[in-house]
Amino acid sequence: MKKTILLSWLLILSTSLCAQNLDQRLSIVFRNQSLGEALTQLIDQEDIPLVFNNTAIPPKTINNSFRHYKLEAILDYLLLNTPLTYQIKAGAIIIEPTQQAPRKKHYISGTVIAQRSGEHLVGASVYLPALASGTYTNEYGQFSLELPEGDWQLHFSHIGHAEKMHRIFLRKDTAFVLPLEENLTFDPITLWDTSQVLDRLPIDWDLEKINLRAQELLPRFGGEADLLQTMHLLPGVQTGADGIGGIHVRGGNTGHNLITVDGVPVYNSSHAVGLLSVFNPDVIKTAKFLKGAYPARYEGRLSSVLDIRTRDGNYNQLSGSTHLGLLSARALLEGPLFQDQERKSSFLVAGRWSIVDQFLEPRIRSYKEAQGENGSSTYDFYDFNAKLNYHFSPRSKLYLSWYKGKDAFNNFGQLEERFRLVDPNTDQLFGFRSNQEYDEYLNWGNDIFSLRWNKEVHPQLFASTTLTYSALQLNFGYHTQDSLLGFSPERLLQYELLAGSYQSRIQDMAMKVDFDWHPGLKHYVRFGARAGFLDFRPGILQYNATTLENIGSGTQGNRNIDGREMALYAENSQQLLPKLRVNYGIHLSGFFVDQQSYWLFQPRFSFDYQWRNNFSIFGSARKTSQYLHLLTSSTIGLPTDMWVPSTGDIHPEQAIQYALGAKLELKGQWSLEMEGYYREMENLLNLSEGISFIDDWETNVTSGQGTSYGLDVKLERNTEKITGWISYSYAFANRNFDRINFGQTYPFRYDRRHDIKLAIIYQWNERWSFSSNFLLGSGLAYSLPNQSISFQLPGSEIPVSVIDFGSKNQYRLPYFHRLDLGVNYQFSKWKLRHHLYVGLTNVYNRSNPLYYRLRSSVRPQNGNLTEFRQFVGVQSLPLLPSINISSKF
Amino acid sequence: MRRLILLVVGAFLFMAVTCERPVEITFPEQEPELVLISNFTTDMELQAQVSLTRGINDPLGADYITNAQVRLLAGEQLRQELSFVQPQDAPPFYTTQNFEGAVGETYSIQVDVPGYERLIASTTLPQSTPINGLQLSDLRSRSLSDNLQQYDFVLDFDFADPPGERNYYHLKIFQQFEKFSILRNDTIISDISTRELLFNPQENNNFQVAHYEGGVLLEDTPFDGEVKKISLPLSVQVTTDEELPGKILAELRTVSEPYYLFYSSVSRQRLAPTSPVAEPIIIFNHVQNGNGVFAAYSKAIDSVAIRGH
Repeated sequence: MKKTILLSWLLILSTSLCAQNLDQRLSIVFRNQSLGEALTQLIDQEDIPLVFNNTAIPPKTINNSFRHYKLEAILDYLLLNTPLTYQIKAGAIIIEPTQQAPRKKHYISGTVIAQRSGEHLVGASVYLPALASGTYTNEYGQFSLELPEGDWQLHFSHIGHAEKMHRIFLRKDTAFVLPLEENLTFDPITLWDTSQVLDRLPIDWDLEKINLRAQELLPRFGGEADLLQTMHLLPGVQTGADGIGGIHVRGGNTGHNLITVDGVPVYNSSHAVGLLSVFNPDVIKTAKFLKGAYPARYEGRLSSVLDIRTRDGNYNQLSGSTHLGLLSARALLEGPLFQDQERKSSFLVAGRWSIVDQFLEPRIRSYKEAQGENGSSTYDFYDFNAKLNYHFSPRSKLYLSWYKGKDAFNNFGQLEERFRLVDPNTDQLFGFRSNQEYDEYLNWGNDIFSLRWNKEVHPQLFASTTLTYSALQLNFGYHTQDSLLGFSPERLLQYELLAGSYQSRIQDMAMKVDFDWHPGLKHYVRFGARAGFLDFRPGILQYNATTLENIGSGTQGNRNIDGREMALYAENSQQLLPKLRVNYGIHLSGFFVDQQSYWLFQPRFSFDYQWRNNFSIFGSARKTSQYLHLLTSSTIGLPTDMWVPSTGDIHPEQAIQYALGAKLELKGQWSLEMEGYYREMENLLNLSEGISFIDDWETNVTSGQGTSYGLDVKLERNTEKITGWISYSYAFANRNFDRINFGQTYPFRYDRRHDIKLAIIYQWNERWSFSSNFLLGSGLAYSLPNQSISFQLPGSEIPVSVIDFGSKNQYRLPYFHRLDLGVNYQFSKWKLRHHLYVGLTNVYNRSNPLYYRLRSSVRPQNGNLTEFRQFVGVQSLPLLPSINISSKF
Repeated sequence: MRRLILLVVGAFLFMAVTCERPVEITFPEQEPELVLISNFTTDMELQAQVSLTRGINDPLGADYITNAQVRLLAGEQLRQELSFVQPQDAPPFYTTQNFEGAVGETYSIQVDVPGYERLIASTTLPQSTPINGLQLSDLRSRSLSDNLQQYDFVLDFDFADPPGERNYYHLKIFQQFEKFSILRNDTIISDISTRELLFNPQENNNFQVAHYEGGVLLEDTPFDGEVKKISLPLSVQVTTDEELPGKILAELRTVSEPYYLFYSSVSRQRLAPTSPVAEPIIIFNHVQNGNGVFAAYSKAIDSVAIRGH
């Protein structure tokens, strides 16, 4: 039998075939076939002009189906992990052995950008089919490869962009900018790249790339696309009712999540007690969420990392967008800063303003009027983003970004009453006027600033130097006046004036330098250093109290604390074996406060083993710590939660987490991923029982331990028509503090045993899509009043009644569940692209309790006035319609 | 002030969660449980109060038990059965007869009420900690009106905390007032009343809790084995044509751990601002099959007079 089969007739048949036919899309099924059979099937079934030497085909079994895949992707898949590559010659696709590596090596470095806007693409895949290897672009769209001299094909892909094959004949060090064409908004949504076989080169595996496109299409509260609301749909992420209460990842506190914008930590991530995030969705370029492994470059929080990168702005042309919803309006403008050929500058400004007050303020004013009061309450928020970028050269770039956001609440009113009383002794009639006035405000906001200089030091080495500033300030104040004036005889009977203000602040200033080093295809090294200064003013209260008899004033507050932090890290992502990738690194940090220094060594390790083509196992072990503590004095996470530092007496919080998971790619674009974890936390800090945020925190905190463990499972499907996932989490979390629950271990409030989340998008056609969320979870652990205990000590005249809660958090709130629906209609008119969203939140008006409270009233009983108490639950969001219209140019 | 600040936050919460809608909810009926409250010391009879808890929606108040069988044991030995007392204008209680507790002895109490499991609790009578010194300093007086005089002074107080063991204290300060009348140029003291000093709960911390009835509860962690010195700036107002400032009494109770934990949790809960979203304050319980406290303490008393300074 002839060893060589030359399919020469195909050459004749395919003379019209040209290189771009690799883009043709095919649907084909391979059922336990050898590689040779699969290639032959391509010839027979699809008339693909393949030429190959049968003797050079290695043994490999193919069992997969492809629906509407590019020929190029199918070939890449078939030849993955083989010593074969292909090229087009004379109209045929020649499959041949990979070229022998020449002796000399050169560097390929470059930047991957979006073609229309010039935006740098983060996490774009740069894949070498010939080596079945590749890399990713970093946070600034840059990549670097060291390759032997020769003819190379580089395959570039990125979510939301068309794939691109770039051929390069490498003779010397080469640098280039590669634009990828955007998939237009109206294209069918793809959560991840369709060529998933090419997208399996993670540098940070075990992460969730939060899909911003899905965020726009999924149901949204008030019509607001929101990053944190989308995060709530991910397994392992817990929150209170409807997002109120902050984010709790795998049994961690809300202060255990590192949320960064362009590498700068954010200390308050939400507006309106968690219903909306502070992140304007128009400004976000990428969002990575890590809850299992996280590499050594991340520091400062125990539970998770949300790494948000903002857009640079359009380098090519002026463009913008507007949005109008029920809660807010927002606008964005971007474009080149200077009109030049080289497209080396850009700007972006975006603002968002709440409009919810237009609906709420009249409603509250009416409510107060019905109570006989003249007043109202207002609530507003805004956020503003600005970014300027300038490229001194392709190898030297400067970025300046600024964020400012604020929430403001005001509550005011005036109540005047006139009444007459008869003096029983004299039968004389007296007239009185009672006047009550109050004015209260509460506002808080973030300021975030960064100045970054990126420099390509060497084709293999990128440096990024950043100055950062992040601050959170809380202010509130009150002014109440209460007087009682008697008319006959006219005299002031009672007068009370109370006024006060409270301020709390954290400021974080830092300088850091990060290096990306690409010593070869098998290694991707990152290292860097950070030095920071933290200024804490955890709370100061100034007050005045004036009565007829007395005038008092004072100041009470916590001391200012300054802390200095430095950190060094190094990590390496290494292809240790053909099927085994590892990431290992260390993070060394020091914190200096109160003449005391803390040094913490945090090793990190993770691996990903590609057991089979469609099955991989991954795992991680990590030690993390944080010098900052978020003290919360409420059960639902209010803006009064206070960041405080470790001090001479308060030690840094630390955690060790182990995780092991597996991912299975299934037929029909399904994938199944699961991960189990176990985490131990120590030196957790909490306010002792009965302490509020205005008390002296340093003498009223207690430290303790926590444990959490569980399993997260996610079944996901990404097709052109249907995209979405269903996830299930089975989790345990508990806490133990010396001065809470008398030292007995108790369930963590977010110890939610079962949690099911469904998110689905159905793309009916280019214009219409339908989406739905469904959430079902065990109730939160909660302390409910059990009974009342009353006693009067013998010899005492004071009767005492207290509420017995039993052991802390021994009850469970009812199951939380909610269904949301959304409809998206996208169209073009007047040269603008429009997106109309209409949705319903809490479709069947489920009464999910936010909290419970005891309502008391005094009623006569048996001739005596008796206090009665009634237990009521307070619902979070009822059925709410939402609408949002956006336009882009 | 604290209440006002929390009102601001509460109003914001109401505003932010404008969709709130009170919902009537029903919880499983909680069967009433027995409550035992008893403190005792060396120089007084042991008194115990037995009552029932009430449901959370029921009117406040206690349902006192009048048919309980209450026994006091020292170690394993029955010391005596307590007798029932029903005062006219105070809640009923059970009391010992001619009982004097011994320092270092562990006592147990057993309460049997028909239809309920036996309540059992134990406590050890701690050694008294003597007061080293009680002094007044910086005494100043000023006239506020024709018949109102204010005395400002600093009360200095110290005691030596025994080392190597966890100790708890309840410091109580009393001011006596002597009602007088003048008869033929003689001053006749007709009555002596006592007011107890209330400590400010805003000064609470992990080791110091203002007691709701007066005084302050202390844990010795910050001063273990050291001499604890306390300086209290105080003011006393006296109606000069009716009363004289009497003695200032300092009572240092060396209390057992259950005493400290129970009364500090009760005091924290009673004096904490109420907020529906505040973390709850759990009430300590060391009574088996029921609720409450059975706690011994010993005490040392010293006094100092304003007059004469």
